[in-house]
Amino acid sequence: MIRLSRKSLTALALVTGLGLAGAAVAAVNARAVIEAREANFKTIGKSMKAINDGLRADAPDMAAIAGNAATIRGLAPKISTWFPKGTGPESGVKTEARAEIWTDAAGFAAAARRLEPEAAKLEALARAGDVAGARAQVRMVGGSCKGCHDKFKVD
Amino acid sequence: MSETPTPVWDGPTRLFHWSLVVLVLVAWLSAGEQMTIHRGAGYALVGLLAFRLWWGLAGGSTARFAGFVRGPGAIRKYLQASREGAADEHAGHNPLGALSVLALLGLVGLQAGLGLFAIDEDGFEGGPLSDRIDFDLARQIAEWHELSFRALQGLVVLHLVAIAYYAVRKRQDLVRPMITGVRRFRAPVQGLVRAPLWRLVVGVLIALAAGFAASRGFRLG
Repeated sequence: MIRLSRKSLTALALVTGLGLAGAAVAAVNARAVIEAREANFKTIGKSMKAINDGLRADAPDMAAIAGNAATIRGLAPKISTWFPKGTGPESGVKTEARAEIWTDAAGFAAAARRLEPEAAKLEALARAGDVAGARAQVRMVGGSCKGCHDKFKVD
Repeated sequence: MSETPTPVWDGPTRLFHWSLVVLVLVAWLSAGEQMTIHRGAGYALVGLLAFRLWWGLAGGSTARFAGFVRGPGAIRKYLQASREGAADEHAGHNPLGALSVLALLGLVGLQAGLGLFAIDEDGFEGGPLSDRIDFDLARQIAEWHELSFRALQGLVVLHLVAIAYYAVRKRQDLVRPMITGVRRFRAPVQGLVRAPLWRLVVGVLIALAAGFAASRGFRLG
C-alpha cells in the first residue's frame, strides 16, 4: 500500500476540490450562457411573430413593424457569439444546439450571418411603408431562421 | 360460408375514412417543412370532421353515433361474448370499436384545433388564430400539438393492431368492407340502411363551409 504523507493528501484533496469546483463553475456558466441565448432567440421569435401578425392587417402599422425588424437586425450579428465552446450538448445542460455548430463553425457562422441583411431589408421596406414588399421580405427573414435551424438546431 | 354479401358501409363513410387516412398522412409528412400544405391539410381535416359529425347524426345507419356508441355495460358484455366466441355478428362498429372511432375523431379534432393556434419556434409559420395569442402561449400550444400527434399515432397503431388481430385470430377481413362497402356474414343480419342523397349534399356543404371558416381562423369579416 502506498503511504501518502499528510501534506500530499491535503494537496490531493485541494486539487480534487478545485477540479470539482471548476467543473461546477463551468456547468453553471454553460447554463447561464444557454439560458441567455434562449432568451435572445425568444426575443427574435416574438419580434417575428409581431411582424407577421401586424402584416396580416389590411393597413399594417408599419412603424411598429420597422421597430420589430430593427430588434432582429440588432440581435442578428451577435448570434454566433452566443455559442462559446462548452455550451453544446456535451455541457450536460439541456440545449437544442447541435454539435455541428462547433464542428462546422464556418458553416454555422455563414448561416447565422444571413439573418442581419434580410432583417435590415425588412426594416427599410417597413420604414418606406411598402406593405407588399415587407410581406414578401418577411419570408426571406423566416427562411434564414429556418435555413440555420434545419442544420444546427435539434427539432 | 356462402352467404350473400350484405352492405355495411355507405359510400360517404368509406370516402370519409380513406380521406382521413390520406389527409393525416399529408399533414404528418408536410409538418415543419411544407407549412402551406400542412395548413391546407388541417383545414381539409376540419371540413372532413364536420362532415363526419353531420353523417353521425343524419347519415347511413352504420355511421350514426346513436346506432353504435354504447355504454360500458354493453362493451363488457361484448367482450365477454367475444371471449366465448358467441358475439353476435352485425353490420357496423362493435361496442369496443365504437370507442376507437370516438377517440380517433376526438384526437384528430384536438390536433386540428391546437394547430389553429400553434406557431413555430421562429415566430414565422403559424395557424390562422396564432395572432390572437402571445408567442409563449402559441409555442406551448405547438408543443401540445406535437404531443397530441404522438397520441394519435399510438391510436392509429392500436387500430392497425386490432385489424391484424381480427384478420389472424378471427379470420375476419375488416379492410375489404371499408373499400367495397359489403361484407359476408354467416347468418343473415340487418344490413346498412342508406341515407337519402340530399343529406350527402348538405354534408358536403357543411364540410366546405367548415374548412373555409377554419382557413380564415373562423373570422368571417
